[in-house]
Amino acid sequence: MNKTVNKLRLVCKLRYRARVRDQELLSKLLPEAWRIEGRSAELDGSIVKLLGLNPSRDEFMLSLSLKRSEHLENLVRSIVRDCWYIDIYYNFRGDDARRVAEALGVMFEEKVVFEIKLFGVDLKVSAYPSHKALTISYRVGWAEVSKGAVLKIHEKLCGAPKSSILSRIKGWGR
Amino acid sequence: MSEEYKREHVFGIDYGTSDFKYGPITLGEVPEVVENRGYFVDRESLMSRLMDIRREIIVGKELPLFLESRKSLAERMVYPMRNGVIGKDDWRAWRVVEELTRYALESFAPRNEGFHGFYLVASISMVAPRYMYEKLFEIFKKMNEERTLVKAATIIPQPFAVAIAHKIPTCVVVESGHGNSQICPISMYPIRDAVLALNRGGCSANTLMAEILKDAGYGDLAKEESLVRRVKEELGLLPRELDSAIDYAKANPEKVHGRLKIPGTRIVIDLGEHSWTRFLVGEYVFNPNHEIFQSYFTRGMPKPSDIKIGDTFFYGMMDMAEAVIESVEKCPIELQPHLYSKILLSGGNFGWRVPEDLREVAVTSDLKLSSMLWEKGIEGVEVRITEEPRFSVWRGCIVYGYAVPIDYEWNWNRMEGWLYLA
Repeated sequence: MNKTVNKLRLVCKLRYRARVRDQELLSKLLPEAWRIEGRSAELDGSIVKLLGLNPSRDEFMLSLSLKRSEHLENLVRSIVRDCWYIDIYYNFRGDDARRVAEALGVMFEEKVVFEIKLFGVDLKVSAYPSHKALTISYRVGWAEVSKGAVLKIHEKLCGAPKSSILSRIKGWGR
Repeated sequence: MSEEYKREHVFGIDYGTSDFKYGPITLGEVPEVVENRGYFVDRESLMSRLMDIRREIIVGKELPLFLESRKSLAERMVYPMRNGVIGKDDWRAWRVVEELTRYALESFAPRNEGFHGFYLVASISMVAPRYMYEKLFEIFKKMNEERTLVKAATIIPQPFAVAIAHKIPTCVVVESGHGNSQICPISMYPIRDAVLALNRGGCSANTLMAEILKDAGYGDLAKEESLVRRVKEELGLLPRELDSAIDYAKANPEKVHGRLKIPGTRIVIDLGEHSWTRFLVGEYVFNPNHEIFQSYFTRGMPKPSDIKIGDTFFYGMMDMAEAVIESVEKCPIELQPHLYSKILLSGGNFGWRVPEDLREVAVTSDLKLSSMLWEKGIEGVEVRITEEPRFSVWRGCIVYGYAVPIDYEWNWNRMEGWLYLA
């Protein structure tokens, strides 16, 4: 991935009530590679921020700014172990919205909500053409994550990293 | 209705003095923005009849398409939140608020059967009186006349929304928008007795920018408010210290030279020998008491005056640091150091840019306020500009909506919770 993807939010439903303080939650859930500072964490330019926990403390919301697709996979794989499910939200604006609508084969002419299946996961796609906005959400549990659905969907929506395409070509050549 | 439904349908609205920011939680970090204004169409005019314009008020992105002459602009354009407070009987302003609210909700309300209305979190000025809350709830209720757009609503003060967005329970929020600035100490909740308001905001800097443009020979362009604002944003600078910045500008005219081409037009603005005045624009927002501004006041530029709106006094000429100190000193002494140690600057009026080669003399808003406070003997100060200061109120609305449980109902004594409307 060449540019930062700033379009993601994750809502994670924990299997338990978080007993740690808000500032300690990320260090409990993220792998060691992430450099954690209170409510935010960083890995090679990707940044995750804890936006908040719900009052019953069994759900939390993260915002993500991604430098590399693999960081999303890395993050989700780590968090999902403690969660019943994770809801992943994307939002695209302007030309990106139109491009993603085309990539998914959905209309972008009127305000409408679609449900489509991608890599075995149900995606809810909301189109707001008057605002040139497209929002996409889907839910994953351990089963979908372990099949690599999150990374595949991300690459479908945001484009595959060049290195990944190269490595695939190399792979085919072997 | 479940917590999960609410989480999917939280909708934030920030009724800013100049811009109206809105959108559902799914928009991520950036809301939609339109100007907080409405245009009353002359429905009696022949053209309105010929074009079959049935609406009384136009709001939103298509508004410019309906504008007529400059004269009618002054008569028919209404900016409801100019001061952050709307008069109880100002029916035109309330109609615009109603129309903007409908415009925002309609543009994102899904048509599917599973939609039962948004959980709306609205944010208004800290100094808004109680009747504004009542009026807004009435408007939100009206939204449900044709179909349910608002399941439940709540209203929070803008500085509180900023503190929530940043998860800082003890701080001073300085929210400076187009029309005014609010200084609000927060210790878990806003300390209402200590709130202080300034009758200065982005529009004050625009007024000065217009005068500078006139002096530089662009008197005709100085009447176009949006253009003046653009020039201010592109060319205006905030000086570290005004006198030395002016000296620097006069000694290094090529470095401070202000020139701006307006895209899509033939207009080029070149401040030429008046380029040193770029530093005045930012200074005026923070401290309009410098003697250099006297010449503008003498020539007829309106001085920011002390005014009383509702029960709130808005100071015109008090400098920003003095305002922060006065506000903090109304709080318990034990709390004061904690408040100074977290000052959050929010609102579009703090977004001053610093060109790389002018770092010596131009500064960002946080550094300016820190040094002003230090000069007044306040130590241990930490001033921070919020990320994307224009949107921090809206983000706070979303985080608040996510956090307030669905069974926590509105309480007029505490002024918090959800008021169910459908």
